[in-house]
Amino acid sequence: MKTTDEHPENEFPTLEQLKGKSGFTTPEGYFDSLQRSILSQTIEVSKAPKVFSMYRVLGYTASVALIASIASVFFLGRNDQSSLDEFGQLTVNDYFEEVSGVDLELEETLEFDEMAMN
Amino acid sequence: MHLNDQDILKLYTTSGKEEVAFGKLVEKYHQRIYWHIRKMVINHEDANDVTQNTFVKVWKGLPGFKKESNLFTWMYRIATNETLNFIKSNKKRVAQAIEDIQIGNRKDDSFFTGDEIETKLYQAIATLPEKQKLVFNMKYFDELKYTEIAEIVNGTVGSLKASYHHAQKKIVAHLTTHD
Repeated sequence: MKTTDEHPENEFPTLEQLKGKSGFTTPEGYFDSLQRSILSQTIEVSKAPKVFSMYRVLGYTASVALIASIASVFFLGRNDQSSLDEFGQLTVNDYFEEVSGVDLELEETLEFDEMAMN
Repeated sequence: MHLNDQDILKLYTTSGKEEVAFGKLVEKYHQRIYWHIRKMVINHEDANDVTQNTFVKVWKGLPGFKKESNLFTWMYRIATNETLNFIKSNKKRVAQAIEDIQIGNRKDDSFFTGDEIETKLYQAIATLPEKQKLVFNMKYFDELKYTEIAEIVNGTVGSLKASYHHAQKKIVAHLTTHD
């Protein structure tokens, strides 16, 4: 006797007929460009000069300077509203990440919850 | 000609050959990983982003990869994690992508050319809970073994078989009801 485990598809001929069909498409040449893009974000980044620690030091220094600047504006009088707005829109970390292309945050480890059976 | 996973790992552990090995890994699996992700997130641009994030994590995780594990299921697991995280953070976007593949609702950049029955199939699959959808896709489209899926989702073969069977029943019922 055939069980569901051994021949699941025979129990659902409709699904068996649809197997192998996919309406999804990709742009022409996509997979070639995907490979290049992946390698540029991985191997190429690894080849870049290691300035990670330098940027951290610069980042902390700039943070202190930023705080001091903002504090001085408040304590000494706001005479330039436009420069204060400019500081408010950009964090130091965002700036250095944008300039250096270095991600200052570490990747999280993998997790996968247990499957909930319905 | 693709190297087998063991040969890729051997190459990776050879001093100075890590990048060559990773390139081989990308070449071997990039399409498979992409399609696994695409069938969950639907939208091509989103699948592109998640695929690239997946391989970045693979590259960063390779130094710590336990050689006795299965490289393929490890990568699939990373892809699955990235996909579920993306869907969790972008529920409306994914729901919209499913709506956009309906005939009559497609945009030029939807990259979906399925006929009516294929559209109904993906809409039926979309009604499944995310993790059941995942199991269904891996079994039905990717034709992975239950033992491989069990490694990827950290489940048991028995529960996966049951889940897949239930998924098939739901999908066929949906196709029949919405005929």
